[in-house]
Amino acid sequence: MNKFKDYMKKNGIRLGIVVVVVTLFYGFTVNQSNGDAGVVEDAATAITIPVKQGSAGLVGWLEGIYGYMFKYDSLAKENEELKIKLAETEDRLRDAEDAENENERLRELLDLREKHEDFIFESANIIDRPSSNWSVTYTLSKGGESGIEVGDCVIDSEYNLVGQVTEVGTGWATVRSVIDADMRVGALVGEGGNAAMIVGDFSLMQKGETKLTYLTQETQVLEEDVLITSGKGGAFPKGLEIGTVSSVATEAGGQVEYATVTPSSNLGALSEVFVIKDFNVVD
Amino acid sequence: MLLDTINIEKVRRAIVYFGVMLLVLLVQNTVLSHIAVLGVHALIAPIAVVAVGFFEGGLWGGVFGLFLGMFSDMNLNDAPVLLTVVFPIIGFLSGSLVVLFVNKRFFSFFFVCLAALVLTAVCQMFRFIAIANANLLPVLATAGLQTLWSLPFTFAIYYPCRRLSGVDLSK
Repeated sequence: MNKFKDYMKKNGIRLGIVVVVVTLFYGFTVNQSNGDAGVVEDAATAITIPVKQGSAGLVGWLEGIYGYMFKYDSLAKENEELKIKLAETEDRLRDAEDAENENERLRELLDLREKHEDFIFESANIIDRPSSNWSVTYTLSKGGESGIEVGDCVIDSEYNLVGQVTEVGTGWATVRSVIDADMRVGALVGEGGNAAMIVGDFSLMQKGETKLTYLTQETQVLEEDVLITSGKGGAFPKGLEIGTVSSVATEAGGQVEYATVTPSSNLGALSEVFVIKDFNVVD
Repeated sequence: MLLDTINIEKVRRAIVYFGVMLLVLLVQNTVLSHIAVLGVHALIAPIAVVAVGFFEGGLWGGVFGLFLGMFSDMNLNDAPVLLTVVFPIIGFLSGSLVVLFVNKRFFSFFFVCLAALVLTAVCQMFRFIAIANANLLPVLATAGLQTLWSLPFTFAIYYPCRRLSGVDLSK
């Protein structure tokens, strides 16, 4: 026992150092085989992480300062180039959207041409909606140079009546809307196809509607009845859809019946219309 | 030599009022056409005609009214030449009123504008009542609202036109 004490007194420090070295070595090498960090390594890393993070932040900040001082011009140039590229891309996108819309309209027009081969169309854009309180008219982007004449019928892409050309100039034409107080159109009503007349009415015009009148005794008009042009008189081709009966009423005297008609064409949203320059008149 | 026969001041005024006319048409067609209160748009052209007649005299008002009436008829597509006839009368009468009966203060201007707007609306609604036999109430309502909505623009037109004409009411 005394020999062990003497030995420890004499070699204890050396033995301790050996034990510590062996422990550290074990700590670093253990679990290396399965990829996990050893206890000592883990502890050492935990201590150094804040220092590493701090130094990384410092380096990043210094790089930022350096970049701002020495790379500012190149970054600004790059930013400018990216802006130009973005603007070009947006421009191309707008062109693509325009082309898509035009494609859609041309498809509708093609469909319309196939349905009515006798019609000679001229497409035109609505460029102005005058602010008059006393009439509803539109100004078209095409006029006499395109063969448009006074009295030509105007329809939308779904074959609904929009109005009639009342004035023609070079590069423009005025269209009186189907709801205008001065508008007169021969119409066919109901299943029997009885003749009646669309006659514009001032108060209905302001509500975006028009009036069906001159109904004969045998004509029965019901709500939701669809009205088409009669084609009589030769101003309008037969079969264009005018509108739908929204209500039926009697004039103040109580003798004459009339109907309120909502136009089939969405007049407020129209941007492009088709002028029928010529068609086969059906007697 | 030729330049001596031209009254430069009158030419300058004519150019200025041509600009005023364009501005009025521009506001009428691009701004007011998109603003409808109870479905009715304001009509500022008669106010501009009154302003020119008020500050420049009946002759200037009549000529200004003639041109503005023509352009307004072209634009509004109402009854043909209606405003071409009515506006020169308004311009001439407003100039004559200033000479004979009223001063050039704002309130005088306001009431002459009111009369001009009522006259214009009555002329516009005439054919619906006399010819088309339309229901009287909606026609009157439209005429009344058009007059009412147009009146606030007397403020916007009176002061710039007074300044353009160089009229000094303090004397």
